[in-house]
Amino acid sequence: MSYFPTPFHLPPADGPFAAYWAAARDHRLAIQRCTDCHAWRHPPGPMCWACGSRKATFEAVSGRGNVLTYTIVHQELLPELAGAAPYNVVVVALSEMVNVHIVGNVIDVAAGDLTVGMTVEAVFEDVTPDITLPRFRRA
Amino acid sequence: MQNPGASVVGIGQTQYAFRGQLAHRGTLDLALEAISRAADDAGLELHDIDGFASFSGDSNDGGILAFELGIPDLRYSAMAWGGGGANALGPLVLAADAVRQGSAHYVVVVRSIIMDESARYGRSLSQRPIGRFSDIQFSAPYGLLSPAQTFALAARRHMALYGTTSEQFGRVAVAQRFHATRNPMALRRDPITLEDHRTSRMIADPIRKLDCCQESDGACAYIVTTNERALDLRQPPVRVLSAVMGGEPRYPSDPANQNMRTHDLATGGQKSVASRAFRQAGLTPADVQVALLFDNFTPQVIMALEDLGFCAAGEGGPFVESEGITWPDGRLPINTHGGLHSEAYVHMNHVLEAVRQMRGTSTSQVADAEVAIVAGTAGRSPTSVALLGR
Repeated sequence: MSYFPTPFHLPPADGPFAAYWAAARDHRLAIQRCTDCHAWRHPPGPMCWACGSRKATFEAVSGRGNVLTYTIVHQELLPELAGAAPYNVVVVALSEMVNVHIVGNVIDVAAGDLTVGMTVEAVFEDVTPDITLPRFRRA
Repeated sequence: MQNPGASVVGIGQTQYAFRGQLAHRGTLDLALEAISRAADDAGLELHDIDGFASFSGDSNDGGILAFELGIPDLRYSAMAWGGGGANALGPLVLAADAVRQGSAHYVVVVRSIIMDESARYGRSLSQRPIGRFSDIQFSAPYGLLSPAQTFALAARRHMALYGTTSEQFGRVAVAQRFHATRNPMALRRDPITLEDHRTSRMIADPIRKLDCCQESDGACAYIVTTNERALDLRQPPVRVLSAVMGGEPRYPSDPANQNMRTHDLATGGQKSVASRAFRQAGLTPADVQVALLFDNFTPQVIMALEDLGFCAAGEGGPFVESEGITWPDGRLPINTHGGLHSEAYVHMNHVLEAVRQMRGTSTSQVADAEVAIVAGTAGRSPTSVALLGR
């Protein structure tokens, strides 16, 4: 079941962050990590903010974390969102690290039941044959 | 250490209007009108101007303005880089540095906005298709699309950490609207109540319609020169006690990017620039009588009061309830022109109001005000803070 009625603003599957989206297609959440100093970073980028290294890999993580904050959106700003509001957008702090926050949606919690601190885990929605979006569900 | 040398000597603005109402004039005409008024106010000839500065990708540039104004000896043209509205004081940093170092004599800071459909603040931020290198690919597919939605995330975090309430956000809106009722330039002059705030339409929970600023058209300009030159001009100079831009480690430039070094999303990211601004001016928050705080959304004002040191982290909500942010009796009246919320969204109208407060000419004049703080508390990096004094 899809969280939104129609996909929109899909990421480029063959872009510079293809490894992130390829992992999602395999139903894994993989976060960019510095090969030299092991600092995590997100959104991914060409250089490590901690040590300046340009070597990095995408490393699979548990996908578990806690809701840091959320909003319940009452607007439908795109034609593809017709009928979708109210929907939630959450920011999740992943369990393995302190400075990586993932934006997503919690798919199985009613608007009034969402709380800051709620434990969630990644789920994967195959939106198109090329693109899978990681989202979250209550853990 | 005192940061010597620069003053604001002239201010000018166009009429403000709701989004699109000035579209027929174009941003260049608006900018030129604001600059002309600022020069008149200062008692300068237009041809005395020899520098320009702006921010947030203003559509005019120094070359265009110098051409139109016939500037005989253009010496300076600079744009504060990044931060959007958070860097609203960035061009004051540039202008003050330029005149102190002698790069130019009279630098105009100008901002001119027409909110056509492409610039609308209540619309989706995202371009189609999503760029290959764009960070937006990690947020837009989840429906995080507008400023109200991204700033709602910080507001909710603040509520969860500290018990801040929607009613406290409403107190900011009510105070600013009251100030706007006294300001003939303000776009929104009908008083509002906490009940009006509570029942206004939900945009992105917890942000309601009355937590949001205007969408508007207009231009503002001010002129910066050295303290020495300022003494020969028409107005009492308003001294730049300090002007600072900067950012905290790994604080994002894009508000849709919710990654920062810690889990403290409930901040405008202004603690370090604020402490630097106070240190450079040799002042503390207790020395400030009036605060002009970038109020794209009301929760940002509460976070600003904390970041700037007027209260501790988490105390911003109780501060707006008990200490008083309303003219004339509040301990720290804020946005005495009505702010972006009720005067107009021209990004820079706060600086003009700070100058009026220091001249003693605000429509909600704080008695004996000697120091004003102006802050670009828009939750992006680089951000900016300035202290102005009589």
